[in-house]
Amino acid sequence: MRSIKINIIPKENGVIMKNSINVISSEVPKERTRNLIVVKNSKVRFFGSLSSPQNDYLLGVLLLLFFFVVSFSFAQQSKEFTASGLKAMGGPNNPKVEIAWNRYYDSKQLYEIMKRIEKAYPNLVKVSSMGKSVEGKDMWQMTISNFKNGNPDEKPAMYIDGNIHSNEVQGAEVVLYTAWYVTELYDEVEWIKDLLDEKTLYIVPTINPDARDYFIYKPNNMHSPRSGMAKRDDDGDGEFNEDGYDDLDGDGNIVFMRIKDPNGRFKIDPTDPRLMIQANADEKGEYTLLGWEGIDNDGDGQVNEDNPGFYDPNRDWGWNWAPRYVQYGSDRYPFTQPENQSIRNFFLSHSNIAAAQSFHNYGGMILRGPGSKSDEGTYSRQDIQTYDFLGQLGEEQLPGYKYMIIWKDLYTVYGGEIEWFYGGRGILSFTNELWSEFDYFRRAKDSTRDVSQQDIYRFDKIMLFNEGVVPWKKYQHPQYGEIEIGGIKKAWTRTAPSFMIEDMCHRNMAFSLFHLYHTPKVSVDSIIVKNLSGGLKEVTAIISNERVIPTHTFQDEKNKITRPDWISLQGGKVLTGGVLENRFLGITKEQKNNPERLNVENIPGMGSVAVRWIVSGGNSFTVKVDSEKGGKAEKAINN
Amino acid sequence: MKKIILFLCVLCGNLFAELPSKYHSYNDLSKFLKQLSSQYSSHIKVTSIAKTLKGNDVWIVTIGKGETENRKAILVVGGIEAPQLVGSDHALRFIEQLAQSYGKTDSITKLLDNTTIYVIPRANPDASESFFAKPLIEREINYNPYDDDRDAAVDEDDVDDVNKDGIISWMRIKDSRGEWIVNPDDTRLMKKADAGKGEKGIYRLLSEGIDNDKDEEWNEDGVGGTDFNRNFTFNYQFFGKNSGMHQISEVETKAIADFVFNHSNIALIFSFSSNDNLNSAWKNEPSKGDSPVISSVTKEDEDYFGLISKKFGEITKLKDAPKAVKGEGAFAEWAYYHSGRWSFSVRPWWAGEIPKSKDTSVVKDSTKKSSDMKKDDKEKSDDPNVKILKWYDTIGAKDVTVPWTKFNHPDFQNQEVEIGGVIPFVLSNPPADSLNNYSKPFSNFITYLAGQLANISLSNKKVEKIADNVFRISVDVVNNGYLPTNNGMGIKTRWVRNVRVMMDAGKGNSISSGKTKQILEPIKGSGGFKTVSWTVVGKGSITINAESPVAGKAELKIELK
Repeated sequence: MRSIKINIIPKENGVIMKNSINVISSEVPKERTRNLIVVKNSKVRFFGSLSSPQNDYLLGVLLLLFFFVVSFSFAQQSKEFTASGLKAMGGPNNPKVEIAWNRYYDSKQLYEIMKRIEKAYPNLVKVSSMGKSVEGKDMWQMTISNFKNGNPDEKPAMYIDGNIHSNEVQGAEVVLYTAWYVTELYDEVEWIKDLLDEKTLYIVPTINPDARDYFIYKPNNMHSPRSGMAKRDDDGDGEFNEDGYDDLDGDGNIVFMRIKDPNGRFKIDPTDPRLMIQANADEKGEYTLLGWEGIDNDGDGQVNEDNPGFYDPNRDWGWNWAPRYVQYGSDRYPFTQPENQSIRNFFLSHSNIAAAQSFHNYGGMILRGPGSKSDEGTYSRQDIQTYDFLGQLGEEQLPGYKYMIIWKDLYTVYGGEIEWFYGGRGILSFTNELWSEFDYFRRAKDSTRDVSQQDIYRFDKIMLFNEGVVPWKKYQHPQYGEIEIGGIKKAWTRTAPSFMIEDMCHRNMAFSLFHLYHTPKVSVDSIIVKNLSGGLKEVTAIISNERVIPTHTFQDEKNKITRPDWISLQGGKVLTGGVLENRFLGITKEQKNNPERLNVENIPGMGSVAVRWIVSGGNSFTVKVDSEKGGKAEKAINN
Repeated sequence: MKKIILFLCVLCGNLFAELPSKYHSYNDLSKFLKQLSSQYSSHIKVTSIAKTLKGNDVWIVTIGKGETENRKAILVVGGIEAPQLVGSDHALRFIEQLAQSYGKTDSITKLLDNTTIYVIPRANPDASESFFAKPLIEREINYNPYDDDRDAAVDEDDVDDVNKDGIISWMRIKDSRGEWIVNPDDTRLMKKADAGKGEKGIYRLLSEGIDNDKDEEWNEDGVGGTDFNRNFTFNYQFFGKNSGMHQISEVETKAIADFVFNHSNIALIFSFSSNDNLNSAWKNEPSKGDSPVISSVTKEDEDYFGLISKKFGEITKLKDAPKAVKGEGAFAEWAYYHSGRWSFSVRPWWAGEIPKSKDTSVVKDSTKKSSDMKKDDKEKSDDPNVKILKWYDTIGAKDVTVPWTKFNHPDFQNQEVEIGGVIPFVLSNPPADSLNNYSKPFSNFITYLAGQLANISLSNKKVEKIADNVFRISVDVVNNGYLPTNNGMGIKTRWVRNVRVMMDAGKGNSISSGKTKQILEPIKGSGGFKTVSWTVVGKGSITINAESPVAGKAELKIELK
């Protein structure tokens, strides 16, 4: 949805529409409603294959009756064609909550949007605070699930956050778009409905509200600040934040300073006078670059060496953490930052989280751990297979993005957020680096990493009409004398331009939704009862996992992070029970204690486990499975 | 006259009774600290840095006169290994000694006028309190609930006083599949059978308890918690026994770490723990493989660790210490490797010679028999506990072990079960009646340590007049202390600041060479120095200021004319 102004249909209309469609849905087989109809000027056309003529007839009559009634009363009848125009696939035509996905919001605006979504969809959304930031702002979190179908905290869930790095703002919009899309389309897209019926999304658009707002409202460049707002002594002189950037020209952007210098090594690029490039080795330059806009505020001979923050919130996690002589940006110890402590507490109190995603910028990457070579042993073959499946799916959904391993393909990271999710909690998790350089000109796939400064300036010129760059202008600097200030604005190069935001949001959301879809889904596949001599019965149950992610990743199982899945039998008196090590040979490993409730270490992705009990008495049996990350299911059999 | 004063001093000294030679419960300890801080309010302050899960305070005592927060300091920590009550009590006696000596002993008065000594006498009050509780359990961990066996039931199978004797000891179960035998060197102890030596196990050995949750494991998920000496960041073991949910996960450990990070004036940390580097100093070792992690002391620090460890021997006269333990998440190693402070640690007690004392007959006995002990040592046992029990025998101590006694255990109906073995705490804590004697050498040594910090001054000032209104100024920043102004890990971790020199050239004047503010590389002790110079254009008074939170400060005013 890019258009800002859309005619709002009276609310009553939408409500009645929904009720009417529900009436039809209950009359016809479920499959049929999926590819139901397209309505054009109150005429009905049938699409899809309807096997039985009687059904066709019944359906037709009902539909005609319905549309007759509706068109009589209201001007618009369908969600696909309303006064808002023809519905494009992949978004709501007539959303209850209008949001312009063409800009970046501050923390208060994000919160207001979250509340509007909650208000519009109270049965699907709950907004709560996860904790407080350094400056005392709330970290607002949304729980999204069909609340009328089970406790959301007991369904397999995915956690998604954005904006851990303050300047990497667009994660928040991607996350918020996800909340908006799944709620708006819950009633329209069956796949989404099933997803929210079965599973839960925990989303936090910004886990760093302080420095998000600082990035937006205070003078910064596109790289600052990366940190949160807790004060640190960056340069070890006993003073805190005493020499940050200075917005000399007061335009809100920290850009570059250059000084005319016949001995300088830089010159103006012949293709674009706004761009500075290095002089050739055998050529004289014209300028010296003096770095980012600023002055030496504290007289130590360095400029801008002690900005707000300093630490990196994504080096602050309790897995493979390293002190700052090893890992630049690490702070006192894991979870030094209160924001990260709140996320840790959320994970420790939500053992149903089976998937996690963090959004950063930029570079078009789908990253998985390990962050360092030394931690390679943590990532087992089994779990890598699952990672690969999802990562490769992501590459398909996200043209220009590459599925990569952090230490191998990017750089070494100790104590990263998603490394704790996996290493510390055994949860499969990715970091996406949003906004791919591929998107500048969408050239051949392998040129994604080949975007030059010239390309960026070219794009600015022919697509943004020079809006993205501050032109060089003279400035009288108190320490350097006459200099010039100019360069790329902070809201450009790391963040997608306005017209590409929605595309970025949707594609990344699609990746997350499939990740959530593939969190485990347990079911009781079958129960077989065999009569043994002496009135005893042998009850065998096959429990399956219908999704790709196992109920326990190997890291989880190996370190016993999540409790085993419980498979219990009701009916009759259980004498012995155990897990079948080989279903086909019938070899069982007995569980001596409490065989009524068997402990299963893991139910593999797209796989199954079989269990067997010897029971005396009882004719009807119920097998229940209860998995922290795979949900609950049961089946009964009457023998 | 002098004699009279001396005599009066002796009298004064006697007015202050020594702390009773007993172990202090949390309440006794709190009462003592409160009393001390009101009695010596000019130089003793007691505050709490954390409330434990049991509602106890982790006390910190600030010792020193004047602006204690803004000058160089050391931190002393007792009880980071909760069962070492003796270390915690040493810390109390150390505090008491300083409190009483201030204003009486010149060296102490001088020290406390310039240096701050922070003491956390009991890092883990909740766990240490088990020493005073019934049944007696040797508890290393706090009460933070933890599902040790990850069976979704939390703290469901703790130890139990099966025989109701008020002591949690051991159970040995006759079982041909067991791995244990009776220790031939001391039949009160058990020993793991060594198949290589043809020994065959005949016992299972378990801590005293019942299989409360019927999972055929005994005492595998006790109440709590985390062992603080396994919870710090250096060489931390994930999913390790009692190591906590992650590094510095506990209220208490976080409070202690934050206290250090918030006090940039702490130059040195002394702790009582098994991670002893005073009986055998930490050495520089070649780094392993391509790991960027530093796991042995830096080359430049090695000598200091070496010399101070030598001094420890000289001052305390202690020897024959048991082997040092290499830490996993240990506090003392964290203090050096991750907080960048000088870190010294030693066990608060081990079975050896009893220091000489004026009264107790027990001590005399042990001196007499110490030669016997040496003979026994030569026979050698692999189990260090054999030596400890022998030591208790020489001083005639009783109640060190519970005699192995048959017991009809409900979980082992058809097997012979005996309950007995070493009583909790005795292996790491001496009898209470000689605590005052044991603490003195440590108090003396810590006092010595506090006097070794870097201490800067400005000297060798030079002012050259180059022309009217142009002056070249230079000055040496000298370190008169023993330790350098920073150590190798302080620089690496950046948690310890170097000396900062500021030049205030005065109004209207300008600095034409040199900097207004500069940070100096570490300056070695024993008179090491760094020269700083400026060229100033102008006249009048200028001020040079050198400062480091861990090395003191100095100021110099110069008139340019």
